[in-house]
Amino acid sequence: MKKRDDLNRGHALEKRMGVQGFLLYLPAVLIIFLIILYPLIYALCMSFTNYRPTVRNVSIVGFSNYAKILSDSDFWAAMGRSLFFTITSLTLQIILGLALAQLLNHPRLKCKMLFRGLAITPWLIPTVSVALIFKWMFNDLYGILNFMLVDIGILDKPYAWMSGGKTAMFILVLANIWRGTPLMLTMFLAGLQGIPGDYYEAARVDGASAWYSFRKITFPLLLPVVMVSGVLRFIWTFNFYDLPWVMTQGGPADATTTTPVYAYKRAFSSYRLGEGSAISIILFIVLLVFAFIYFRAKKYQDKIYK
Amino acid sequence: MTKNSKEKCRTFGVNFLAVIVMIPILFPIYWLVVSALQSPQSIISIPPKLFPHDFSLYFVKKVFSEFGIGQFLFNSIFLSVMATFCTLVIACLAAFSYTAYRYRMRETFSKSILFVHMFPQILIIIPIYLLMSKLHLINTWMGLTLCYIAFEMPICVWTMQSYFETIPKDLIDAAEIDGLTRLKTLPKIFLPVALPGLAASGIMTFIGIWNNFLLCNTLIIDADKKTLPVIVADFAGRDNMLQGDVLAASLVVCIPSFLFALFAQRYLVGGLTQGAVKA
Repeated sequence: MKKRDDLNRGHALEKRMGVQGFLLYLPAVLIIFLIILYPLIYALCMSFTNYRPTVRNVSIVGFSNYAKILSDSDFWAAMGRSLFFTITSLTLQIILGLALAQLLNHPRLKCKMLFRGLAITPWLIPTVSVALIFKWMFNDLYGILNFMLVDIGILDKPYAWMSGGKTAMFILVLANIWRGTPLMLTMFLAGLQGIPGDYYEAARVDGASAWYSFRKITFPLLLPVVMVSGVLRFIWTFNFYDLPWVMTQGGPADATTTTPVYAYKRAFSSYRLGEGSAISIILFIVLLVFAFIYFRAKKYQDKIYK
Repeated sequence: MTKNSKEKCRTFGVNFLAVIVMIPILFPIYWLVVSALQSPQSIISIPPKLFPHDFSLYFVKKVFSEFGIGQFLFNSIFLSVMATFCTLVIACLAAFSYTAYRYRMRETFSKSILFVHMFPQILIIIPIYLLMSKLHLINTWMGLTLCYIAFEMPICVWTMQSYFETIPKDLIDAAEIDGLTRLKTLPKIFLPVALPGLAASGIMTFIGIWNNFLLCNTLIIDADKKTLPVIVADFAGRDNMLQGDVLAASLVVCIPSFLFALFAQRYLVGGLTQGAVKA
């Protein structure tokens, strides 16, 4: 009989503990629900209306907001620019990050921590400052890089980078690469440190070249890490708003209007929040596709590491 | 060449290359600092001097006295400190709950946090704007802080969780046998062991909130309630601002980043790595 009592008490304790655990997690979940999930649901409802803060009678307009946006050629042009911005930035960030990680993980390198610390500083600089520094360095009158390029002989005279569409996009991508490479670097460094040194030792004993052991050891073992954070970086870079907004406000002549800038302008310039909501939902659906890939990649990574 | 000198040569090569590679990484920062600390005449000298020598605090003083950047500096410090503190408390509780307790919703909670972590802010900013105006939280620091917490918390939970998971189960069991309640193991065991993790996520959260531009730019309307990055971007768009003013203001926004880079290197690398790999 006594044993049974203990068992019951154990159950009650377990249950109480479960409730306690639940309550401890609750604040986090509530905030996420209030700030992120609930607004999304609300926006979904709003996207079927012609809601504007100034208009009194809101009516349901069905899919017409979606139709308007999906048939807008500016929207597709912005998607194209975002895709270009993301793919060029990420490709170069990955290549540079990988090379840098190899260098900063080199056994002969002295003061490793110092170099690593210095290499991640760009990531800490606020995006607003990054945008303004790059604009200043490429300023048509006083920009230092303009003068350097003239000195080396690449340019004849200082060039107005920010007033040409293609060159403005180039500066935007350059600034984003400068800012994002440190994150790639830390990711690769963490990945590299997870690879046992024995592998390289064995490869060297077998007479493999550095390039060969990079291709056959480093690369395949880093791949899962790259895949998982690559998808995430893709989503974030695709939706990166601050840099283009502060640097160019989408100009000149819409040449740097990426999808987020387009969405923001469209929703807030005339406060057509019904249409704005529809854009959010469209972007959300795009995100879901990537989220699916992300969770697949993560599963694959977890499997490899366990 | 003897083997020894060849070795030395290689070592020198690697280190030399590392120094060279640091130049493009650090140059923009150097140029910001140098440009912002020049006199009004020398900042517009043509061609610009790579190593100028007449430094002056003219522009830095000017942004404080003429453009009242001190007010925005205060706003940013206050908001970031407050929001970071709240984020850490909520995230620690969540991570502790996930590691120390077993209950039915546990996995669902954790998955939803991971899912939300992927959300770019721009995607939800329009819905948030709608919600905030409905709740009359637009143009308030309260609403802004809630958003900061929501966006910074997921990665914080993940980081703390990974630090908490390194604590051996035996240690917790032993503590419970000694009469410590489950809840008390948080301040007595979990937090002390995970202190480096707490520092790392604290710094990353602070920087994330400090640098955030979109949320404040959208949700705050009154100029005097805005944060530093938003006002600096605003400066850059004004006609009456000189380049020097804008650069001095951009330099002021970078101050915490510089401080952390100088004094909290260790935690920074830890925090970034956790974020990068978990993400």
